Amino acid sequence: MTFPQVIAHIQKSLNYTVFDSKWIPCSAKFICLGNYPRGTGVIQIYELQHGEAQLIKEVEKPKPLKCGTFGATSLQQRHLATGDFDGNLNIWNLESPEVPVYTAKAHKEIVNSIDGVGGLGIGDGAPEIVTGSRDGTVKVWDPRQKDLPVANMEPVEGETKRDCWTVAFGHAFNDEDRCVCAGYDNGDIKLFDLRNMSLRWETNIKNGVCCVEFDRKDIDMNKLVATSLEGKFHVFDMRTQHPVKGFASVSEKAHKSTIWQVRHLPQNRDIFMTAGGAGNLHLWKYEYPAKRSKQDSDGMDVGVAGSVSLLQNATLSSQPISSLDWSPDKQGLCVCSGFDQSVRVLIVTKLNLV
Amino acid sequence: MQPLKTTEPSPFLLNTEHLCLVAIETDDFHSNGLWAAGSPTAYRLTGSENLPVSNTVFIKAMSGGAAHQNPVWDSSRKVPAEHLDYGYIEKCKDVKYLEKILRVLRSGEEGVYSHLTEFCESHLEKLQPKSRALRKETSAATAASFSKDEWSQILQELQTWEEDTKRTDMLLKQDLFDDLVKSKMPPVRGSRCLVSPSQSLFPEARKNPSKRAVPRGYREWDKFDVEKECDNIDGDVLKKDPPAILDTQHPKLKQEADVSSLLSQRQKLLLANREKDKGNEAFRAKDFKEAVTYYSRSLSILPTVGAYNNRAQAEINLSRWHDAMRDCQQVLELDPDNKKALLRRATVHNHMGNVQLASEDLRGVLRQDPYNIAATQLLSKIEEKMSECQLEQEQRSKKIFIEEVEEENSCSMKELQTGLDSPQDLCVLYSNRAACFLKDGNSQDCIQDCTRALELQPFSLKPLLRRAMAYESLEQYRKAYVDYKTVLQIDSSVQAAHDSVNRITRMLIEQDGPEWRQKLPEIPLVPLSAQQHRREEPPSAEVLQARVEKAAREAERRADVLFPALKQEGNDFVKKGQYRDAFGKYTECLKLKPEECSIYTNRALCLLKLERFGEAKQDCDAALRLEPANKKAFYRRALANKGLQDFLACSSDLQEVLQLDPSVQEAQKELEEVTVLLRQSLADGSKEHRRTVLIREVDGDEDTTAVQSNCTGAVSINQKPTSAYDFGQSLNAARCSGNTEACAELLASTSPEQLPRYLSTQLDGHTLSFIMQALDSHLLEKNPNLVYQHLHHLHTADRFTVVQLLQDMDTHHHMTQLFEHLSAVESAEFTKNDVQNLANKYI
Repeated sequence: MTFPQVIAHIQKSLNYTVFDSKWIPCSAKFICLGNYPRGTGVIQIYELQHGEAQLIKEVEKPKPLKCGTFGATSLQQRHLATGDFDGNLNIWNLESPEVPVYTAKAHKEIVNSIDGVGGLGIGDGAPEIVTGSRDGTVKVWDPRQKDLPVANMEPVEGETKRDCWTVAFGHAFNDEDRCVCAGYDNGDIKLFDLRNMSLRWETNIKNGVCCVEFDRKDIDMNKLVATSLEGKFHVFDMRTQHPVKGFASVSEKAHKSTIWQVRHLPQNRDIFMTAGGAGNLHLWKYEYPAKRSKQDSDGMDVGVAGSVSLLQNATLSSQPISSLDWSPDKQGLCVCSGFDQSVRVLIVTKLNLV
Repeated sequence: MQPLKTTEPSPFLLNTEHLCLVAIETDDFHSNGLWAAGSPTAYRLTGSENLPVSNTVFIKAMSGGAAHQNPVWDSSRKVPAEHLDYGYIEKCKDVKYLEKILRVLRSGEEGVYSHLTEFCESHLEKLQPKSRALRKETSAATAASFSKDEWSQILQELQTWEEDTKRTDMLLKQDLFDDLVKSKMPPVRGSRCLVSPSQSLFPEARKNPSKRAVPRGYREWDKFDVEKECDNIDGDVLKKDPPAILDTQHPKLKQEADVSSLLSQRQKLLLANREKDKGNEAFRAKDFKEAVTYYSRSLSILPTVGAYNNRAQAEINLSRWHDAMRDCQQVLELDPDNKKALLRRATVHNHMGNVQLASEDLRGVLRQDPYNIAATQLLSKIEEKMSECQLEQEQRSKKIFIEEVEEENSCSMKELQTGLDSPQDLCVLYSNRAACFLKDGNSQDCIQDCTRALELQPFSLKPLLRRAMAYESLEQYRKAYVDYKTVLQIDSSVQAAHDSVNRITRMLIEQDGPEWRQKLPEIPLVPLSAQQHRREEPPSAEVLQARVEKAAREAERRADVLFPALKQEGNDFVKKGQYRDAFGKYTECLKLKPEECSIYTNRALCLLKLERFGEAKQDCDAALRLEPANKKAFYRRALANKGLQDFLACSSDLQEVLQLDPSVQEAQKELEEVTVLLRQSLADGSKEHRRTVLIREVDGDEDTTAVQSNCTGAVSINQKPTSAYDFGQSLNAARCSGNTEACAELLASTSPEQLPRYLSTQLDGHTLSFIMQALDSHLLEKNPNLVYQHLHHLHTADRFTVVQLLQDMDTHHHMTQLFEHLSAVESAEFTKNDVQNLANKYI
């Protein structure tokens, strides 16, 4: 049995704190978002050129940029949607990134997380962006509608507002169905059904939820991975929902530190990488059980969770790795950035043999 | 540690540094409780926003040292020093404790013993290979971790991708902007005013009650009655969607992906590949239906060989042979030499019983790739099957060969399980092929294969025996004699060899005279290890005979007891609708008594229900061999043929049934329908592929209820049609029995809007006349409005105008009568004028 290897192909030190890095779809370029020491924001575009990452564009923005996504744009336009420390949602045309093509004051406080769906041929239906913020709200935006969100999920007045750390789209397999999953600092995970405008499911994993991701956004909900502050991650089988027990899950204590990110391989939904607070990456594989659902004593269908196995791990730094993104085009190519102020391009080998 | 260059504290940064702290402190598993209980410290720290950055660095430094300062083990769980010992570790079977020992060893508290640590690791790995304690932190791989070739290959691949993708990138930018893609987009959530008229036909499912896009707060979420809303949605769906759902698989997922035809080829390829990948993933998760759907979507964007091939495999796994066949054909049209497609088509042929075609395809594969293991295996299996069939037909030298074939079957099963790497397996393969050659009369090739097999496995019995037979048939008696003698050395109980040796001895004496032994080649001496029954004295003939008889009686007695029990179990399963289990029981029955006709017909019924039509047909054939006038077998074969879309054979079988017993109304009904289908299929040519038809037949125990079901079957007419097919069935049934009342009930339960669609292909003069009669005699009194509605919609049916042209006097008469009666009725819903207008359309 040959195991995948993680190669740190390129490492680039930066002169600012980088929060997010993302591949530009259908290109050999990636972007980095961050915070200059003087308190302004920055977007940088790098391109792979003969084993080097060349800086090809750099734009300074008034507010530090926390997160970005290409999920809601067309393959041709490839506009970047970002959330900043002031709670603004902006969409930039990277060809001329000086002025945003769309802007909205989305939240009162920092936008912690952003995700998009309906673009790039991923997911049927309208292009939509979801943002989660420290002000406790999760809002869904359509780039065609100015100023107002198309859906808003906020706590009832008087209730404590929980810091929303992460949001993710899923279940977008036809024009109507779509779900948003949000994770909060108190360990709450909430699944909102946008079709019925209802809270479909919620659970608590006891510790702050640092990242949630569906294995695929554009299929009938299959799996959801949620990572937590104390180094555990949970994999939920989303195919069978029991009215009382909810979804079956398996959890794994992986890192000895916070798991900051989880990202599924675009070419194989059962392989995913987690990035940890101690600068390490773990590559996992989910194995399905023989039967994914069974009947309980009341004759209700209840899901059966599978198992996860560790394929490889690699320590890159002593600082947390805060962002991770697989290239949608080249299997095994991946970019990650961490609080050691550097961005790395990684190659993971032999993923096709797993 | 690299110092942060941030000069200003930002809330987020503090937050993150805090996370870092928490993360590292939880290094100790046992301190989890502290943080799990709501992490109060976390919020205090996060809240102090004015903490200077220097603190951040300080926190980090502390956390960096934390792992060393906090010993993981408290005294109560301490591992005694004497347990850190090779002997103790080797004996220890407690995984948890071993992990503990390992942790102590690694911590170096008791001193550093690198060999002992390694030993402990390897021992733990033996006990529990997936133990978490064995996970070691590794640093990222570098060029040094790979061989020179591997490394350059990795770099090369990346380089090529870089160049390719840059080209794609450039081309994407040059693509023309198409607003059409945008106009096809669904409207913004909750704003329906933007919907253009053409799009409003589209089922709109978003249920935002407000017209404007106003966000919804938690309070509203709370008030939300999910059940009610779901009912509403379901209600909508029920109203809008026709009751007929032809395709039950993944109703929510569209079979075809919506993409603008104006997308460039490149974008289409990207999208098609993405859909295909999703299919592959579903396939890996064994969700074959979903996989088929995604492959279909991929194909609807851009047909590719890969997607067709993969869909074929998924369909094979779903036992949808006809669909799989069609996909294989598609691939082979695009790429006539595609190995995978040939192999898959062979599998399909094999399952559908076309052994000959299957072996042709496999030979095609082997021509391209002689070492294809899967093809070789399947081919040997098929050849086995072919020779078996031949054997049955020819009925010659029954005893020895049938036994042999059975053994070989089990051998080939073994091969399948173990793969083909060992010489034993190859030997078996050669030996099996030799058997085929022998039966074909191709003695030369048989000898060749046997010799090869013997080279791999000297002194194996079967190849020797087969070679001997081949030599004998080539009249090379001396060589045959030697081989037979060798066989007898290995196993002296082979009766066939004894007989042949005697026969050949006589021949050789005749040929060479009394000195014949000297002209023989040397008989090889068989090593003891290869001799099987050497030590046992061969039992005398009487004892042997007695033994055989006793065994046979025993088997018979057992069979007599077991057989009825098994059959009853099978019948019970059929009654419960568990056809797969019933199938297993019947198969066991047949192993006991292969001559029992009713079991074959019962099993055929199960197979029909399981939609395994090819096998069902085979069972009917077997039943008919035993009882050539079994009408049940004919009837089921007809259904099987119908499933296999062989309407001609189907109708001839049905005619056979009717000849045997003209009173079987089910058969009559079926015959009429099949005749229609036959005509249709002839008209459409072979290009139009009909969906396999589900057979609705309720039939319990073969022997007891068969007669009853024959009598009652026709009367039970499905009164709640859900599809055009159901409707057609019910209508036909009613018409055959001339039961206008049933027809009226059927019409009453069908919505008038659906009627033309249900009728479309089946409308003819007789049906029309029959419907008129039914409406007139039964429905008109009860519900004249419905009659009017039906008539109002009926004339929009596809073939109505044609039927109208060809109507006879009788129909005309019925119609005039109906309209006369209708116009006599007083109703709020329609006036006499309306009726007159409608009548003009009909008459």
